[in-house]
Amino acid sequence: MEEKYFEISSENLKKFVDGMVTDNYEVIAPTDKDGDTFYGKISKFEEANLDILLPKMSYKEYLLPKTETIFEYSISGVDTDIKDGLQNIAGANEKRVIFGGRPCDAGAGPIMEKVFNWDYKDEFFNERFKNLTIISIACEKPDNYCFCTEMQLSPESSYGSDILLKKSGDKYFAIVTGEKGLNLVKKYSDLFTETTKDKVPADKDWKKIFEIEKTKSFLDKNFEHNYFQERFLSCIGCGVCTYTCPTCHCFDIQDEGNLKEGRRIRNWDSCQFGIFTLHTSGHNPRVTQGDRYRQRLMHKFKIYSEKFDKYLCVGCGRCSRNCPEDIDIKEVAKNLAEMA
Amino acid sequence: MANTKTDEKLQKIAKDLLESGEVNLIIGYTKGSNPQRMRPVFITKPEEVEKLSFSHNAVQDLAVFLKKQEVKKYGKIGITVKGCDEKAVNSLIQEYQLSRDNIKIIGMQCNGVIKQNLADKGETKVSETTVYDKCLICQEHTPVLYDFLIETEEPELSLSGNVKPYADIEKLDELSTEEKNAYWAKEFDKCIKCYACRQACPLCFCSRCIVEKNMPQWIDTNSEEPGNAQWNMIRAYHLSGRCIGCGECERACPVNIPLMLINEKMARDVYNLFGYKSGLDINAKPVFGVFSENDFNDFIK
Repeated sequence: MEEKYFEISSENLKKFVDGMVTDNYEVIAPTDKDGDTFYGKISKFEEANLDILLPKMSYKEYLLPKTETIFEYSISGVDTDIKDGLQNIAGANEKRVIFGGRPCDAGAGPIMEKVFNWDYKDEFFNERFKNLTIISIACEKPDNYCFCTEMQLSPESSYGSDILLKKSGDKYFAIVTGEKGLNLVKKYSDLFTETTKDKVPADKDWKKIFEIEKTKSFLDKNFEHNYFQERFLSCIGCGVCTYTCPTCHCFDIQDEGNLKEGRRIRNWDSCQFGIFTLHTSGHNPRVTQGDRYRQRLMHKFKIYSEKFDKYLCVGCGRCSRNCPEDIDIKEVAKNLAEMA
Repeated sequence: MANTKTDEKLQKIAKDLLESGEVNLIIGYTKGSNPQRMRPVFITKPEEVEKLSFSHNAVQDLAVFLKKQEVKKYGKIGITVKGCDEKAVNSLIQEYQLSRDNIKIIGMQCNGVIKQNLADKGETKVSETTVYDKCLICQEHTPVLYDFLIETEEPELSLSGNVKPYADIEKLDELSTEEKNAYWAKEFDKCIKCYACRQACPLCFCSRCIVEKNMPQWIDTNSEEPGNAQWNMIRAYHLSGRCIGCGECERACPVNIPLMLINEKMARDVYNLFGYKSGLDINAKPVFGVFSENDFNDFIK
């Protein structure tokens, strides 16, 4: 579908969100809790915090839950009953809308979709992804940790959003990128007015402070460079970077249960954990935290792009803001680009 | 930013230690990714000491690095510590993780560090509403043990008494067991099992954590119930009588579980039951490492 353009007043945007809530949509938006802002279910428009740049965590959990049941079993006498976990999530996200996220978060979905449909089609991810509707709001003031522009997106990118809202005075322009978004607009058509592309304010000229291709070219040639061991001596391996990251998608498959019942699950996992690559023999190919952080950089800025033509990073900067030891990935990627 | 007097003193001490060969590595703070942030820095050459700095944004507990293999290999180490962090050094010595002979302690007098989420929003003033709760109950503004002491240039933290540190502990104490369970079930539900609380803790030094042992699987791996509660309870128990209250677990937690309520409650209980406070004396035996006939044992029925 070609992009379509609409206008919606601030007043109608509120009616739109409240309307979805009334119509039993599960509206997930940045909302204040526990002294910070997180994505969470809202029951009215006012609960959404649209002033902050980004919630502390991404909304990855709606595509890849922190624990997903793959199948469950129960045994009774000689009978074994196995239930496919997919049954639990059929139609998941059909009436779920992420409202008020940013273009970086929206960009993460289609990037992750590539690896989840590469050799094996991951039905769990696909089932959730196909139904999730994403309404993002373009950023006006990225902060110093943001680098979406360097990551081939921009604060106004519509990539991955079903609807991108761009604020303009007292109204928003809505860029609708596909059927999912259009269906919602049609459902609430009295709140939107169709317009044309030329009416939508042009994107600003967002400047880059480094070229990610140069970061990659450094990584191509410098696997053994001292930088990794020296810079990441301060990494404590807490994994917060990977767990708050909208694109980090590693998981660990585990069984839990007993002779009567149990389940196979997949949990979030992190390349920053020592045990992540620990072999049964006791050998660990990634001995130091420097090795592990290098792996994260390699995966994001080299390996993924070679395989899938997209970098595995949307430049949201969460890993930097949330790092307890203040490792700033933008600064690191820039350092590497400068050394290339 | 120009060096403060504190920075100059710190750099001089570090330079002397490295030049004399008394230490091979200095762990300290340096300026971070924004003017209100500091970050750890590792100095091995005397000419690099000018990177060292200290301020009310030095939130990290650098003692966490003393458990790290990559750091341990340096042997003799100098470390910059606030009073709270220094207690972690003491505990590591008490628990035979570190030899007193291998550590030079550069104690920083500290009148409180600003909460990082406030500092990131531009807060620059140390006050009872901007510092961590641990700073409000701190008895060790001057570290209890040090080889060098650098006095603070910051004004003393003035406490009006209106801000009650860890106030939720009293509130929770008044709740019924069911209500307490409900409170913590809600908090633990947020847990994503990243184990950042463990990694950020200077005293979580097991080479293989119980959650990494699966024969048997002591702790469920899921990030739901009961796995989350199991993890958080075992972490709390492993740290009771040991936690020195640096609050790094809570600061690192990406989903804001109020872990310090648990840690502080456990610390208070241990003090009330056994008269023991952790990290104050390197010659004291850890409370759960000794048996005394005078120990509280009413619970044996």
